[in-house]
Amino acid sequence: MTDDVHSVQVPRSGGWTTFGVVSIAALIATQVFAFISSPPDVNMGQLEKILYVHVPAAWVMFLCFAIVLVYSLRFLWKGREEDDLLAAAAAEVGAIFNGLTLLLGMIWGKPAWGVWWVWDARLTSTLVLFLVFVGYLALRAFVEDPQRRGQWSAAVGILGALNVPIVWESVTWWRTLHQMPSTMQDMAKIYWVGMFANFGAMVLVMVYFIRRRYEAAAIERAAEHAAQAAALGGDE
Amino acid sequence: MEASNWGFVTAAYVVTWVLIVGYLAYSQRALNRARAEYTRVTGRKPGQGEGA
Amino acid sequence: MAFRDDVRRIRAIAWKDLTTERRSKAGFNSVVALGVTILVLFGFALGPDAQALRDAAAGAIWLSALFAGVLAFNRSYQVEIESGALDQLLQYPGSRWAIYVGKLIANALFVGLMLLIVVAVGIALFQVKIPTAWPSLIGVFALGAVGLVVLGTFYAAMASRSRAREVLLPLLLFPMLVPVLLAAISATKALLVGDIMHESGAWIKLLAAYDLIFLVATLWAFEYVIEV
Repeated sequence: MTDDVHSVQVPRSGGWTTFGVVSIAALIATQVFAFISSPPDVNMGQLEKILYVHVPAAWVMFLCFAIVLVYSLRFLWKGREEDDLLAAAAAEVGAIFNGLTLLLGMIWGKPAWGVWWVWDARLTSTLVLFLVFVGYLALRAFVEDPQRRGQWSAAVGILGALNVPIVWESVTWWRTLHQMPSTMQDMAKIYWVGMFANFGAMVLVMVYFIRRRYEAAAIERAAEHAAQAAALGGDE
Repeated sequence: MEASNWGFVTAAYVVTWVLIVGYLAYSQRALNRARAEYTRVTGRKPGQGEGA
Repeated sequence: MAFRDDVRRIRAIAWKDLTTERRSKAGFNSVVALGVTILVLFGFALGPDAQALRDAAAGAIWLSALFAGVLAFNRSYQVEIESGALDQLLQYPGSRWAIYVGKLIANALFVGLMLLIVVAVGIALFQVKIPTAWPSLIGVFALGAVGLVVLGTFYAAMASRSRAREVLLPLLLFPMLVPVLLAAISATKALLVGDIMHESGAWIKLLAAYDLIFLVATLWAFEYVIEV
């Protein structure tokens, strides 16, 4: 696979920088909107405001897994390095949103349940998925050859994505069969308009993150290709 | 109860934005590094014309 | 015709993997010894109260088998790596899945036998009473072992050929095995106390589904991983 990443035309930052600004502004706007217009939460002392970031972050995490799956499959099918780089970018961004979901879950849990961690089905599954992301990123860190790194990452990414529903279901069974306290969403009145608005804005931010990360990786690979070509050309 | 939970809500949003801004800074730095490397190797700015 | 060649190849690879282990009996013995040692350490960590040990027996047995098994998985590629035989094997067309299935069989026998010994020792150390439903227990051990072996053999194809194989294999493997471990440990635990809630059936179905899904997925993905 000698595809030249150099052929990836990276547009001047103008377009994407604007997109980035818009997405961040949208996120701020939807957060303020949800904050102000969601009904006051009598029992939990405004604690449910955290959910307007925590839940969309979790949804974005799943979206990132799906992107990793799609682009990993595309890479194995077509062999274009760009697809591998995009999958890797999505995995990194997915890990970030996964981490955010976990942190917010814990920050919600401390006042709600009195402890920093409970083996709640959703929180636990999210932790396992975080470890799956970490494994993928560790693999990439330890493999230098781009071809090998791409194919191995793709396999690991596909299997990991495949495992997402299985992990979720098995951890949920594990908790339901052993009686557990009600999950987060049951305990708070959710204002779904605010939730979906925040999700929309967060998707925009996710797209921007992935794009930026992909850009950096693609340009770096293009530079490597060019350096290699120069070295081979000059070595006569 | 109400007052004490504001601390946690604030913490949650602070953590959120620290992560977002932090990642933005990190990826921007990576992008700048990559662009500099590209320019160093090829003598061109990335995105300028088809290259071989 | 080609299929028969593949079957022959599978048998050859499985046989070679096993005999290499057997000729170095130290290989199998040391992995078993490690499994037992870990089991003893669990005993120290969770005991000495008899009831506490009985409650923890299922988890301790499965984790001991897992940690010891990780060594077996990386080793199953060691011979090819050291002798450079992998490239030769890959010359034959359509041989990728034969290599994989051969190694699966060898690892399944290896890990299965090791698990048997670890279970026997675990029953003694953790004062487990053998339940009437012990045939179901054997089913759980078999299905759980298959789950471990399928993903272990697959990820080892990569980890064993990378820079940080000791840490990379567990790092990749353990999160992926969470469903298997949950199902196997929960089912084992339930069956050991008579399965009053009849939950073992659901776990066994999950194990079977997981084994099937990942057997198919890894069979498909293996060639991408081994050829590069």
